[in-house]
Amino acid sequence: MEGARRRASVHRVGAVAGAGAVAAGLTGCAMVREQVRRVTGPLPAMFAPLPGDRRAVAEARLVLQRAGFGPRPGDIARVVAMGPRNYLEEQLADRVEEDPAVRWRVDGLDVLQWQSEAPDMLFSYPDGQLLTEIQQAMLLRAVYSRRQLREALCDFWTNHFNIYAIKKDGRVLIPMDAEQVIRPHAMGRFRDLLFRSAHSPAMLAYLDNEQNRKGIANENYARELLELHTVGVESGYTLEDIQQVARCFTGWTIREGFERGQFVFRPELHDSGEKFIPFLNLRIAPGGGKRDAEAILERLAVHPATARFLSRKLCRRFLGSEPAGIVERAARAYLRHDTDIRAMLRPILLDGLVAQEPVRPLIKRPLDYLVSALRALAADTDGGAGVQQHLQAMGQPLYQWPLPDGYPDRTAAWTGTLLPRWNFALALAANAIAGTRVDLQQALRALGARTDPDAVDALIQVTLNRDPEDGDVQLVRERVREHVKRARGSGLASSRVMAEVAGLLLASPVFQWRA
Amino acid sequence: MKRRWTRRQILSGAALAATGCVVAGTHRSGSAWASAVFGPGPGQRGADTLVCLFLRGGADGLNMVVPFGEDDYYRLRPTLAIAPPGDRTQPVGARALDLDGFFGLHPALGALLPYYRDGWMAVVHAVGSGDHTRSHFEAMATMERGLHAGTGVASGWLGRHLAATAREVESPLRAVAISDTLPDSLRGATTVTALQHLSEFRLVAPRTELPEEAHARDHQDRTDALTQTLRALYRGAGGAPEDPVVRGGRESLAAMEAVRQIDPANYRPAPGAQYPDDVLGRAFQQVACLIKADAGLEVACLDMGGWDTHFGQGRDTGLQPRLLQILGDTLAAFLTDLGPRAQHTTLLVMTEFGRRAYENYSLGTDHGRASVMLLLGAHVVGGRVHAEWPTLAKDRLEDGGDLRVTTDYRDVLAEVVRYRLKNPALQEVFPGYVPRMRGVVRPG
Repeated sequence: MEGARRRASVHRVGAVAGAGAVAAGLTGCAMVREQVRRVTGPLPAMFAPLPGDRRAVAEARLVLQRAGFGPRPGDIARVVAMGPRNYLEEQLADRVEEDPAVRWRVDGLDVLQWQSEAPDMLFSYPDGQLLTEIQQAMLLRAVYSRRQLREALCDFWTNHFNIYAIKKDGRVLIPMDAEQVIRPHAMGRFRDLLFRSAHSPAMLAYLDNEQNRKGIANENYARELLELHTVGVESGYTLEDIQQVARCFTGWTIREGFERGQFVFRPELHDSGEKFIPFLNLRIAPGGGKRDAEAILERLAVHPATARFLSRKLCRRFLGSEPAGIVERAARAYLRHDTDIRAMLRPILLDGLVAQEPVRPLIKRPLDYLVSALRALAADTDGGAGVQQHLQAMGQPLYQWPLPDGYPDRTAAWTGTLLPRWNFALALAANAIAGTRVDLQQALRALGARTDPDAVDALIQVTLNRDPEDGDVQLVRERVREHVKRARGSGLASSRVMAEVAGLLLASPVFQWRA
Repeated sequence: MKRRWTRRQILSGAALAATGCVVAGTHRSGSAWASAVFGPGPGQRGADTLVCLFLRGGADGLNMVVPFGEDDYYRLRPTLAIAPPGDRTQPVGARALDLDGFFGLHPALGALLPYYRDGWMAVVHAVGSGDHTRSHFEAMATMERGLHAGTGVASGWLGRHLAATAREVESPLRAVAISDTLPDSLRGATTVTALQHLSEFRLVAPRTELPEEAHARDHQDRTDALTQTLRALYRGAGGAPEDPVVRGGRESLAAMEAVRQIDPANYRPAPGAQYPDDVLGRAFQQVACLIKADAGLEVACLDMGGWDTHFGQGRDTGLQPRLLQILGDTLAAFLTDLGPRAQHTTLLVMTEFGRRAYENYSLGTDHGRASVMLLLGAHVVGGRVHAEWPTLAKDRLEDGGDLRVTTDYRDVLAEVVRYRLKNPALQEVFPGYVPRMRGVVRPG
């Protein structure tokens, strides 16, 4: 209902938008979006000097880098003022009011409209547009949302329940998975998330369960359900367990024709015989139909191995390590609170991230890197093809990891692709990316930079969120100052020099870490 | 079959080494600079650089490597069959080039004959996957993922190989596809680069509004200045000296420098290496350039399209012979160009499926099953056609009309992975498959 009303009003705005946008080659919702962008303009950038307490700044920076995609101008000051614990409580409560400008930008995307109202329409969309828009939705929210923890978790679960857009109808089915499976349950109960994921046509297609039927079982989904989604490969299940679980999931498939792309359970393809899963010590009586697999999901969600597996993985994502005490506390909280994801996160964030010092270093994956740079410079971005090309060059085009384990977190996976990061940083700061603008002069004015060394210091604050006197930026500061001197000496215009400085700072080793 | 070290081969080896000296001399500075940073390249570590060429569209193996010893071949292909080597009624250029008295090379592949005779080229015949759909998309997806058929892991066999052998810090040019998109075979590894031209691998100073000539000068100046500062930033700024990002950055800067020094835009192949003036020839020059730059290349992937010859395939002239000419000439030029580095390079040519044993009514052939694979390099068991030949007898054809697959293509890839790429983890590369070693390449 609400969706339909929104679309109607959106279309009225579209009608008013008129000939200009049509002449610009825009159609439908793209036209509306352009109009909205013009009306709402970029989000305000509150560039300001960092608070003086360096220890507090470092703490705030870590919280913003780990429980989100890094600080926007003003974020550090806000977290320092309210205290990192209170900030995390606020994020965990997930009730921060969203900026309406964010909703306008994101909600206008065609794929989001259609996935809720008439998903089968997406089958007639051009592949390229689908791929662009599903990435755009994730990028825009990561860049602009004030609910940064939720966005970080959406990314986490998207990789946990990874789906490859290029396989089968992935592109068409992923929008539903993203909006109806991952997003609503990212901070809810894992039980629900798992249950929805098992019903997700995108998942059933990707892991071939659509072909899993009586007599000719396909074990792909069953295997990954155990290995990657729930109990983990070290929990002690065997091939026999996988085969029995696969039998339970026979007939869980996808509609063809009418309501194409929707989940359907087909009793005639279901193996209705008795099953016994030794690992779960679970006997399933004949004739249970769809209930067979539901019982499996129930048992897996509350299995202690699942609690540990998820707890360890979340620790790695947020802390960079698996401190035994915290892993244990988070796993217990998960089981005690009926698989509540937030309950599990509390000890990880409040005891691990804030109290435990120091946390282990974590490299930014390309998505973390790109979004944190856009946020640091308060870029006005459409999240479209311009930035997506850079993300692809860096090695992390969204929804395009072929394996079910999601994009790797390991440092070693990303140290070989720094050149595309550098090229992105230089292009971003020089306003050379289509659909994305930054205003460095605004930052320099706000920080009162009058001389070249002032300007370097101001940009160190803006990009690296560190006091220019901090020990770990002295080398960068010195070498960037030398760069400025040389560039000035060769007569380069001030605005270009400053763009190079900002680009180099974003390209520097310090900015590659979530710290 | 035994290795055949002929006098001719020894001579050609010497010739290769001789041209190599010229090449090494030309590029010594770049190579020395890079190898100082990268340490031992794949060659020195004992592994070859693998160059993998995929013939897209389903190449007709029966006319590439002709079973001229079999009457059924001539019965099934009255118009398209290549004449046997001894057929005096045909001009020499229309006859197959004898390989072993039963198989012959298509005359357009003549440039490869010396490599075969010298033991540098092995042919695998009647090879293919378990994919029966005969759909290009399905069959290519199957092969690039390293599967039997249809469903299974979505990553590529080379991607899994790269992931299984990854070290903490990698050369950014470890795996390269000369292509605008990443081929499926490389998916599943993060340090892979797709580029159309090597010169794209460089720092890009942002564009200016200056007029073209002034811009070019300005652009070069700014690129140099920015590179200089990046080098200073990655000498140990920020973080401990062993910071893997800093080390990774140095690897990237070294690779950029190696590529810059070899100057891919003005690349000149070694004397005697005559690449066809064609996309494929240019792509292979990029790879040669990269190998000579010693920039840490382990795997290169290239594509050649146009093999879907339903219509006007041609016999000794026409569509397929033109493609074969380019293919053979390019591979020969590439090996000549590499000089002594050819010793540490293995070339693999594959296609998603072969074509129907009998010709169709449009002077072409339709989608079939088995085809051929070519392997070139110093360590292939060359000079022979490796085949469990199923024959073209009526009752031996697959599904009534196709050359039967008697060798699983993964057996060949597995030998290359184990013996030439020195990766024993075959289970990670081909999960769920136990390859049968057929002696197509040599260990050591």
